[in-house]
Amino acid sequence: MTKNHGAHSNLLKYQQSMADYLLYKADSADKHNILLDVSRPQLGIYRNNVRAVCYETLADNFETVCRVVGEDCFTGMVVRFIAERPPDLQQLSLYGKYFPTFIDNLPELQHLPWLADVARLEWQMVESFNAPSAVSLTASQVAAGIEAGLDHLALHPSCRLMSSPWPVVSVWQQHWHHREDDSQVQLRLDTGAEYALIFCYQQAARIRALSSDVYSVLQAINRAADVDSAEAPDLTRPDVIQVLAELIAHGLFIRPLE
Amino acid sequence: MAHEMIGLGLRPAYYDDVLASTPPVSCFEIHPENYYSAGGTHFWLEKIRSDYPLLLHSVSLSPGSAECVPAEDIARLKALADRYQSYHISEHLAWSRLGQTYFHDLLPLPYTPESLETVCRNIQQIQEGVGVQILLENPTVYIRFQESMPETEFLTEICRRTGCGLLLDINNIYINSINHGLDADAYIKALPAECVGEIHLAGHQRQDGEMLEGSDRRLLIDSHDAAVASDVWSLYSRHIQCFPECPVIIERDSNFPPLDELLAEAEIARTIRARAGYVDNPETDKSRSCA
Ligand SMILES: [Fe+2]
Repeated sequence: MTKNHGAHSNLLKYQQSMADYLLYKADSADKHNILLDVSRPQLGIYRNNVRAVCYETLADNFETVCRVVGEDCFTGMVVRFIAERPPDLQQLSLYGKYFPTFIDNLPELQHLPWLADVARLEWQMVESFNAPSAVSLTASQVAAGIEAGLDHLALHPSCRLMSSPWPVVSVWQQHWHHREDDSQVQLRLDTGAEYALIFCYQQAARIRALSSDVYSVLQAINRAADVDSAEAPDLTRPDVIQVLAELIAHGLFIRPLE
Repeated sequence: MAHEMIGLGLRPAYYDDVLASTPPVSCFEIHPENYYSAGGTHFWLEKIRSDYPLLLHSVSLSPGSAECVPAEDIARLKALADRYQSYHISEHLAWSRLGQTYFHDLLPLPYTPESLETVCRNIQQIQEGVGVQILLENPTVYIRFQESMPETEFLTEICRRTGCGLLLDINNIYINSINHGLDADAYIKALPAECVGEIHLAGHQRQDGEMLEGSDRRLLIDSHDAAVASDVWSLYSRHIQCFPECPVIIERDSNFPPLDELLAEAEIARTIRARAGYVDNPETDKSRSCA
């Protein structure tokens, strides 16, 4: 609940005009003349602070995107993003939910059509890290669950599944492996769609590339309640068994919520 | 003999070192906003809480907003306080929210009768919501307003009307004294010492570029990215007798040095206190409740 103090409030008017200034919607912070020395550069400290905390957070949450476009371009993106989608949560580290869509719509980045999906992948990592914890099933509990039907299993709340028509996992991995030197990154974008599981293990968000078949199996587990058993995937294939074993080892199966 | 608590601002950069070395400080202060999601950083905080009391230093309730504080924001703080059994809670004399937007910066407000009523209303709402007295921190302010009463008068009146306490940030007082040509000692003397429930010490930066108007000094920025300046230590030493029972927190928010450097600053605070006749023992202080 947010109640206004009243239209006559000078404080509210000042805060609205300061907000427009901070979010780059206005050049002046003082439409109503309540500041004493509005022309002095000190006012810019506040705008710089707001931009700096947003920049740092977005650069942290979208490290690969920042390195792909470079810091100057990223700064420009941040300024426009702040105006369009200012932080709307108390927790600053969760800023950037709408950044991938924002990137989708940036005309000057149309030559990097895969970039928004890289941002989506990175955002899933932020969500994964911040997901609630849950009690993991043991290997024998998972085996019993598979026996009883997939609707007896669920993926851990930190798990996210993602698919992209672009090789976004490869892009992310290349940058990750060459963190010290971006010039080593060699991107190939003609390799087609990629699939990934994003999960949290030992307090770090991680990415596991998947084949499209394994991706479908995990999706089926995720939606098990909606899928009737006739559509149950084949869990006996070697590649599926290998990924299921990894998931069990990482504690990524839980009991579905009632 | 008064026992005191000397602690550090806890940031993720120090989680592992704190857990590995259980350093000799009495408590840690956190920004509750960093712990509002379900997962993530709680893993470390739970472990650290089992060894140390936590102080909650909120930055997003925005008591200076013309709008009321969203009830869900207060509820989030209350839930965190309950989860960690930590009821030593502070906020800033500033605004940082308008409508749905959180600016994540402490923005200044004119010290007018309207602002006074607004801040008091919001603080009462926060105190009712969390169920304890909160402390209000004196801010660093870079701009001035045409109509404004002295900050000390404004803070004193807030304490009187709401029963809240004060978190005295010595670095902020020093910065404002340089940037606005104020008398830092007079500022501290003008506040009701009995309301002060916590002390902050932090570092600042001198901005390059033009001199301050009518002065041979440069603007100071409240950057929290450096060691506590010697002038700030002196200011603290000169007034230590006014608040011997308050926890003292060393804040560092960027340019993180090795933990040992912050511990050395905590040691300086301890030495200053010892020289003034107040002896601290982190082991016994740690077991006390902060609230
Ligand atoms: Fe402070």
